[in-house]
This record gives sequence, C-alpha cells and structure tokens, in this order.
Amino acid sequence: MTLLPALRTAAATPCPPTTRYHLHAEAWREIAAAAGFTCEALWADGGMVVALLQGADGPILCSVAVEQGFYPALSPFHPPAAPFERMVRDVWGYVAVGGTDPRPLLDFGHWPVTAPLGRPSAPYGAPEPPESGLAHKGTLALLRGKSPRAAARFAARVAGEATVAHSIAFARAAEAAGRAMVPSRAEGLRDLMAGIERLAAGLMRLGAIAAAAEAVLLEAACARQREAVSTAAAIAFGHRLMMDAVVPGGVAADIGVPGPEALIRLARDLPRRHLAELAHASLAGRLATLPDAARACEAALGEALTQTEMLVPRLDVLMPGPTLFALEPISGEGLGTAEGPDGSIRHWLRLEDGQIAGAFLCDPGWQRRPAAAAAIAAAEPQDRALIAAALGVAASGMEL
Amino acid sequence: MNAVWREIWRNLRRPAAKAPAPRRIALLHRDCGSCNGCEIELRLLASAAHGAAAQGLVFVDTPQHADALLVTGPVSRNSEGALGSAWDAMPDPRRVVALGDCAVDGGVFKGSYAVAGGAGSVVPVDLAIRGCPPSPAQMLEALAAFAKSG
Ligand code: SF4
Repeated sequence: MTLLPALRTAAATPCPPTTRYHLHAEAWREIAAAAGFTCEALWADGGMVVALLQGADGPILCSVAVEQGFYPALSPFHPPAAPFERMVRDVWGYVAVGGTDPRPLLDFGHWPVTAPLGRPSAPYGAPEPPESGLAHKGTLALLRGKSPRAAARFAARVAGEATVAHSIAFARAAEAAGRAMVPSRAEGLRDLMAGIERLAAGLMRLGAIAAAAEAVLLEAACARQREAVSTAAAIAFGHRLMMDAVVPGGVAADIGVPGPEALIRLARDLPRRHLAELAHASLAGRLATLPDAARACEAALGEALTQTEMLVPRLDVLMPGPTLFALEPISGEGLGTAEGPDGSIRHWLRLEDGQIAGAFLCDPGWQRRPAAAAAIAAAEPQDRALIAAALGVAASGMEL
Repeated sequence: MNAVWREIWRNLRRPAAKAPAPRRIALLHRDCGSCNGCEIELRLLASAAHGAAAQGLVFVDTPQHADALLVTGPVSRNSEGALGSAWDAMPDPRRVVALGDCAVDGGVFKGSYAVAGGAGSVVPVDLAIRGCPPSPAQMLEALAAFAKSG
C-alpha cells in the first residue's frame, strides 16, 4: 500500500482489521483534499473527531483533535460528510469549521441537555419544530460504560429491518477490539440468519412497491411469504426477526432442533417462479418510465430469490462445535462490518477494560436517505409514493 | 372415507350461529421513534396475510377519522409534539394503544436523554400490547378484543 505522506508521518494505532491515523489539523486537511478517498462516516470520541475513509486498499480511520470545540470540516471535499458533521455538532457539540450545512440534524431544543456526549449543558434558546431526528433515541449514550454483551441489545435495535446485520457488525467490532475469536459454527449461524433477514427484506421491499403500485395480488403474495419466513425464523432462532440472536463472541443460542427442517421446507415451498412472474406481470408497465424504481424492484426480487436458494447450502456448511466464546475484558478499538439488506453496515467500538468507552454504529441510511429524498423530490407527484417505497429507507438506522 | 370424516369434523367445529359482524375500529398509527421492528410486524398485520379487516381493524391516515391512536416507539423527545397534536385532533370518544415494549414504557431506551419514555408520558393509554416487537398474531388478538370492548 502506498501511503500518502500525511499518513506516513502520522502516529498510527491498530483498529483491527484496519489502522487509525492520528493527524494534525494540517494533515487532516491534506487527506480531506486528497483524491481516492470517500468519506463513509464521521463521529467524535474523547475530544477527537474520527473519519472512516474508504480508499483503494479498504477502509482506514483518521482522527483529528478538536480545538476549543472546533475541527476542520470534511464536507467541502466530501459532500456525504455533511449530515455526519451536523450530527457531531448536535450530539458532541463540536463544530466543523467551513462545513457546508450548519442546520441541526437531531437536536431541536427538546432534550434536557445539549451536547449529551460532549460537555453536556442546559439547552439554550426556544425549542423548534423538529425537521428530522424523530427517531433519535440516544443510542450511543446508552452504550457507554456497558460491556459489549450488555450493550448488544441496543445494536439489535438500531434498525429493525437489519437487526441481525447490525448485531453482526457490532459483535465483530467488539471481537476486533477485544482480540477475540468466534467459533466457526457461530459464524455459519450468523451467515444463515443474515441471509434469512435479507430474504425477508427483499420480500418486504417488493411488497411495499406492490402496495404503492396497487398490485394487490403481488402485495398479498409477498406478505404471505414474509409471514412464512418470520415463522420459520422463530422456529429456528426463537424470534421472528432474530433480534438478540447474535451476540459478541458468537450467537446467543444454537439453532433449534426443528429449525433446519423448517428452513428446508421454507426454501422448498417458497414459490420463486410464481413470485417472479407475478412481479413482472403486475409491475412492468407501471415501472416502465421509472428506471430507479424498476432497478430497486429487480434488486428486491433478486435478493428474495437468491437468499431463498442459499438457505440449504448455508445449513449444509454448518460446522459442529461450540457457539459462544467468552470475551476478555481488555482495552482496544475495532471496526466491524456486515452486509445488511441495504448495504454495508459498519460499527466502531473503543473498549476500556472491557467496557464501551466510545462507539459509532453506521447504517447505510446515512448514504441512502439523502439520495432517496432527492429522487422523491425530483419525481412527478403521482410517482412519489412509488419511488419512496422502492428506495425506502427507515429513519431509525441513521438517527440512532 | 377420510374425506367424509374430515367434512363431519369441519361441520362440528363450525360455529352454530353466524358470528355477529365484528365491531369496526379505525386505527391511526403514529411512529414515535420506533426502531422499525414494530412497524415491520404492524405492516404485516395490515396486509392481507392476517385478515385484520375481517376482524374490524381499519387503518386510517387522519386523526379526524380515528377511533384509536396506535403508538409505536419509546416516544422520542422530538416526536412528543406530533403525538400530542394527533391526539388533540381526534374526536371523542378516543382511545390509545401502546404497541410494543418501547411504547409501553420506553423499553430498552428507558432513561435516555432523548426519549420521554412511552406513550403514557404524553397521552392516556387504554391498552398496552407488550413484545419487542409483538407478533402480528398477538397484535390481532389484542386489538380485536379491544375493538369489541369499545
Ligand atoms: S418494542 Fe422493540 S421492536 Fe418495537 S420499536 Fe421498540 S425496540 Fe423496536
């Protein structure tokens, strides 16, 4: 890997599976302006602002010290950084100097504190009607001071449509930070659960498109199949959405005895051909002039079909053995990645003696919501509900 | 032979008199900071898969047409105002259902600076449906009984 000079001279600490570079403000600006990086996420931690940058060699973390509440903005070079800078200001109170968007994202004066994760103080000024942030629940604050095991239930509730994927990303971050191993059977069970979740998500998206297009037969078919998926998931893993089934160190419980048979039956009985034909017959006309929605529809159908076919192979490769290892209460930081229904999910954790000292849980909604909002605004009024259903991104994932 | 027995069995199980038409209840859903888990199950209930309509459950979009307010989520501080306005715009008699552990008492988010802690902190709750999330079948059973009790 050919490192930029700004990185070569910076202090570097491990953040498995990558590296964190501690930059001076000058070097931070140099990296911000350098070609070849995209900003995937930005958050704050202990007087620093941390950026997750995606380069040709994979992700790296860069951080810069916050000076008297200020740090140099990334948004002029990386537009996707703008909503993160708004979030950092609301949650930590740190201001991006030269940032492109000064509006609040989460704090409209309704919390009992400002900067809850920075230097909390009483709110000032009158509260305003919130334009966003309705789903902000203070999740990052709730993680602090807990062990990864105790905090996993919050990661499982970042976004209900991707509870398994968020739980996997969180577990991987905790395992990377704690230098812990995961039993191979647990890895296999995680893959299986993630696939079931993506199958359900594909059906959900297709069903939502069908509902918006008033394709009642297709909508009903998707709902019926989704019910079948959730029922099988409950038989196999004890919960219809498989919430809390993945925990740091492995999985909470092995697959139930009737689980494999229920999943085999699900894969056999899901009418793949019928679903595909019905989807094409009922939506092709309506989506003919809406290429984005048509693509999203194909992707949702493809996901449902592919994940159905993967069920049995994933069952077949499950290794025998334990499903959960203990985590040592050590200090360190780590990055965890999982593929969710709507793209890559990344969690970052910093542990001190086995307890969470810093965290950021990044949902693909950060990238997808601004894009979806722009597409909906650009669409003809009669197409907006359909576009929204096709690109649909729930708020909770990014609003934390 | 088997088929004959099955037919007899089915007739035995059939209710003697025609069941009275279920009482209709118009539900207005407000998401007050849910993780989307409760919505996922609620949308499944509202779709054709669970026969909610046959049990008299109707979903409406405006407070003026609602008999009951269906609240999901721990009621984030940012959503308190919108929840209050929806309630204020509903005609009497009006009722409130807290759907899911979050809406019942804040669930896992209880105590966060950003949540009020359940529907009851803003509006008077008549029915609490626990679960994280409750399944569509649990929702259907509780809501159908609630519709009859009104
Ligand atoms: S009760 Fe559970 S599923 Fe429902 S919104 Fe709360 S955390 Fe999500």
